[in-house]
Amino acid sequence: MRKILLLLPVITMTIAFSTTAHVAERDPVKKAIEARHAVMTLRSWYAGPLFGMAKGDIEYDADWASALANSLKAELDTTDRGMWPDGSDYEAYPDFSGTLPEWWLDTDGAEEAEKTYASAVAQIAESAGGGLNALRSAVGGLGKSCKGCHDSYRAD
Amino acid sequence: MKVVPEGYAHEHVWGMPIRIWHWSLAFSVISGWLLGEFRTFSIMQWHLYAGYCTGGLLLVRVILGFAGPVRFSVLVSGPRAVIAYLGILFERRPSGSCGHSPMGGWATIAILLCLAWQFTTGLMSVDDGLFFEGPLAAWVSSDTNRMATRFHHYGAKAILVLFVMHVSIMLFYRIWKRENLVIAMITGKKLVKRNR
Repeated sequence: MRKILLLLPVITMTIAFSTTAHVAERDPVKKAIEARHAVMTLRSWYAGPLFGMAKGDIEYDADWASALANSLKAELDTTDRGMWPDGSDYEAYPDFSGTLPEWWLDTDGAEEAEKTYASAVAQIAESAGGGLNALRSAVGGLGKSCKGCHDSYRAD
Repeated sequence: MKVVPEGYAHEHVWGMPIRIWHWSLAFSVISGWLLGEFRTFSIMQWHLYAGYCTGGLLLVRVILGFAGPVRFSVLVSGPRAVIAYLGILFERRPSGSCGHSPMGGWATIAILLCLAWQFTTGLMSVDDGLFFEGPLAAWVSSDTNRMATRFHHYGAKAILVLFVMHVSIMLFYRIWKRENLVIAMITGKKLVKRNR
């Protein structure tokens, strides 16, 4: 009985420590960064086959291309400012966040980058279903906007 | 025709294959660098082709370096020879070396290593803005992709530095040391010191 009693604090502490560890993982900033990653994963999921079709790696399919491009467009309405809290940049979370502090410092540039992306997406949503050549030229613009933003605001 | 300075002779130093190799490499590296630096979706495929050409030329050079007429053992000189050459580098006369000077040999090794680095990292790199990737990118982890991509970008800067040095040194030889090494790499004939 005494041995069991001695074990009690050990068990309590183990539970307490594991709970704290769990709470630490629930860092709200990390959650926000995770949500951003999810957005990027989704964008890349939709854009991937469009780029593949434009390159000729995947056979062009007008309906699929159109659906993918429209999904990209629909995704634009789903973002939330809360995903970009202060202190969620690459310098604060070097192993987790890829967003450079410039994203927060250069607000005009960041806004411009978002606008460029939105108009590239609008362009591809309009033309993706209209034949391979139309898709190809729209993919060029989309690639330019993705790359432009990555070059300026994403850590290597 | 320029007068050959006293004590020197125009000698056939670089054979046709190595000259064709040199200018092919210059073309593939310059075009590959520009296509990469100013890449867009529509030209990105050509950056990959330029990379494959560079890789192929490097492979040829490595084979020739171990088995051919342009061996690495000839290219590499000891520290004493390099220091001795540094001592006479600023004299206003051609190096007179039969081939690369002791420093030039090491510069060649540095360029080859840098290009090999660039070729290897490029194979595993990813540009997820343009949705292009090297042919081996899918075979390694995404962490490796990111690292390779970062190293590939560093490599591009290193190549630019080496390129500027290479061209500046050619100008230094042309202006200060009165030796046109560009023509020598076209014709294969170089000023070599006699009776050495």
